[in-house]
This record gives sequence, C-alpha cells and structure tokens, in this order.
Amino acid sequence: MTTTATSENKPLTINISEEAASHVETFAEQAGKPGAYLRVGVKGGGCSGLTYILDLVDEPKEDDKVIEEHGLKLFVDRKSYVFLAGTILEYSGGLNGKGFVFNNPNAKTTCGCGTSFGV
Amino acid sequence: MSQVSTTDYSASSVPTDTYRSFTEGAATIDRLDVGRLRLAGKDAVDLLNRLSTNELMDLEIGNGLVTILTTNKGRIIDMLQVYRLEDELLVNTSVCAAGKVAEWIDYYTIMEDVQVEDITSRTTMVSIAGSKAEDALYDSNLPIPKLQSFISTTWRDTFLTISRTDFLGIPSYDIVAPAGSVDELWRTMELETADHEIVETVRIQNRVPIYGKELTEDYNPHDAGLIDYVSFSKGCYIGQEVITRLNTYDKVKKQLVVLTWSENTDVTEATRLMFEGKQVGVVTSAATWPGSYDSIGLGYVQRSLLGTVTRLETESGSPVEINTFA
Repeated sequence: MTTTATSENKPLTINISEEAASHVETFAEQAGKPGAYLRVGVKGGGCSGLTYILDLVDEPKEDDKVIEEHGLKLFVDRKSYVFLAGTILEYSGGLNGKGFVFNNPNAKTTCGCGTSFGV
Repeated sequence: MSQVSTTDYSASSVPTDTYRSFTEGAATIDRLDVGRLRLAGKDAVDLLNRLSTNELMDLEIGNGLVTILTTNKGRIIDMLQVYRLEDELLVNTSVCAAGKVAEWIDYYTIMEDVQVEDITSRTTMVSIAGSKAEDALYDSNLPIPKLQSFISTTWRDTFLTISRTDFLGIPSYDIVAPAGSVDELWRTMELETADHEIVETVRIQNRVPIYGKELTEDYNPHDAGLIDYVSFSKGCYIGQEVITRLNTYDKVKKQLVVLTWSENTDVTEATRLMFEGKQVGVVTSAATWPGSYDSIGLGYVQRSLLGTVTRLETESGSPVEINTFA
C-alpha cells in the first residue's frame, strides 16, 4: 500500500496505474462506449460497511472531482472522496487476478472478496 | 417486534386476573419503547437492504418485515420493523436506539438519495394486544390488517396506520397516529391498559429480545434467535460475511434461553450463570411470574450445554433452571 503522496506533503489524491488506465479504455471499447470516462465512488453496504463503485460515464456530475492520469479522465463522487483520498486504483490480471483493485489507505478492514471495506 | 416463538400458556403457573385479561382478552400498551423513523428518497429501500440482514428488495407496498442492523462484525445494533409505503419506508426502532440508527443510516448515505427523519415525537403509538385484539378493532369499526402488513385509515377525521406485528409473540396490532390525536379512541375501546410488568413477563415467556438487554453489540442474530430475519441468499450487507460464516461452520457459541428461578434468590439482570465453577451464561432480563413465587428471565447460555444441562447456578450457588417450554 503506497502513501507516497502524504510522505511528500502533497495533497491526497486518487491515482490510477498505467495498466488500470489501459484496461479502462479496453473495457469501454468492449462495452460499446469508446472514449467513455471512469467514475468512481463509494456506497454503504457490503460485508465491511462500504463498497466501491466503478462506472463508465460520458461526463462528470456537477460536484465530481476530476483527475487526469495516463491519458484517462477519472471522475470521483465528491462525497465519496473522503473515503478514497490517497487510493491507487490498480489492475490485477492473470489466472488469479481480481480485476480492478483499490489500494485504499483509509480501509482499516476489508471483506474476503475485497469489494467492501471499513474505515 | 414480531413473533419469535409461541407459548403454551397452560404450562404457566396460576396467572392473575390482570394477566388473563391481557393474554386471553385484549389490552392496550402505550408503546413509549418504540422510536419511529421515516426514510424518504428513491434509494431508501436499496440502502436499507445493503445495511441490514433481511431481503427488502421484494417487500411490497403495504407490507412490512423485521430486519436487523448489524455492525461489520455481525453484532446487533438494533432490530427494525420496516414498512414499505409508496415512496418511503417507515422504520420502527427501539426509542433508545432511534438516534443511533438514524446516524448509522445517515453515515452510509453517500451517493444515495435518502433522507432520514425522526418522527417519534410527532406521532403516538399504541398496541392492542391479546387473543381478542382483533375483536377490539372490529368493535371500533377499524380495519384489520394481516400479519406484517398495514392499513391506513381515518377514525373521526384522524389519520391512523394500523399494522399487525405480534411483537410479544401474541396477536398484536400497532396503531400509529399524530401525537395526542387519538386519546378518545383508546377511551372508546374501553380496554384495560396492560401493566408494564405483565408485558415484560409475556415478552420473556415468548423469548422476544429487546434493545439494551438482549440486543446489544455483544451478540449476533444467531445468538439472539433471530435467524428468521436473516436472508442467506440476498448477497452482501454489513456484517454478512461473519453471520454467514457462523452459520456455515456451525460456530454459534451462545443461545438466548428462557430461565426460571425462585423469587427470593439473588438473580437480577447481569447475574452471571455458572456451571461446574465456570461462567457459562448471563441473565439479561428478569421479571416476576404473575401469581406465583417464581421469577422468569432471559439469558444467554453457552450453546454446547443446551440439551444436556438444565440447571445452572449463580455465583452464590442459587439454582437457575433453563426452561424448555418456550
């Protein structure tokens, strides 16, 4: 789990790895939405309390925070940001891959399947 | 809040007249113990479904169910009686837990369209309970809802919501109205007001747990005998992983049981229960058995002992029986 941003006293943000950004583009094309943007957020529920949301969208919502990295625009729900600040969105591929993985420094607990977390 | 088990009253010791009028007739119970929340917004059902144990997505308008709010460790926050209206949910909690439940729901309202409002002080709630409760409603020309459903109606221009929950394990209809608007209705019905001690005794006999005594973050729905209110097929909710694992691997360690003891012994709530010198349980509720010298209570007891051990002791050696009739 990386917390480089804090150690260098930079404001906490959300980062996306190059591999994850590449997979977003691939999935957008497969979903018939080439050029779509990724919107991430958090909702209540899941075994540990909070669940990640990933969605392909055409544009941000009014209060979304917009982050751009590796040529991908990432929209973050404003209210979810407090739970996601410092997160690195990565992609785990291969036979045992989990798909998109949120390396979230705010998560004190996670459920077995990794889709939900508690803070 | 809903029927957990039924009691064979013939097994009871000589009940008093007041007790009989309640259990064999009908009586009113002022439900000061219930908090009432209104959950509005298009995501209310979906959110509460993700936060609690029962399946709410199939709940039809006009119906209700019991669900349990649990922590991510599967421990009980409170048991909720939920009703689905056309565009909102009405949620009954313990009055002591209403604020905590509202805060819990509000905390997890992040991207959702959900507004939580505590309407406890604006409304009043009375239960008509007993085997003749239906007759009492009929005699007052009030509609009679089925179990876990509700009917909205008016009585002399006052808006009422009547539901049936059998919250004590006996027939019970809950009437909710604007605060102070229906005092005349209770007078018209001419029913006896049930004594708190009698209500408590019936609750205990039927092994119905309540907030603060049996429903605390020390226990999970398995321990409290509330597994009927847990869906094992609905998918994730907060606490689901732990609750499902306990079920799958048969790891439930405690069970809520009915206890009896002689009235003049030293048993009270929080009394530790011992077996062969070790603590194996705790008393959570205690009441006098009407018309007898015995007391009745609820308590959590080590599950592995049940079925083989029927008598435990307090730390000073007073006997406490594990009762099997409930």
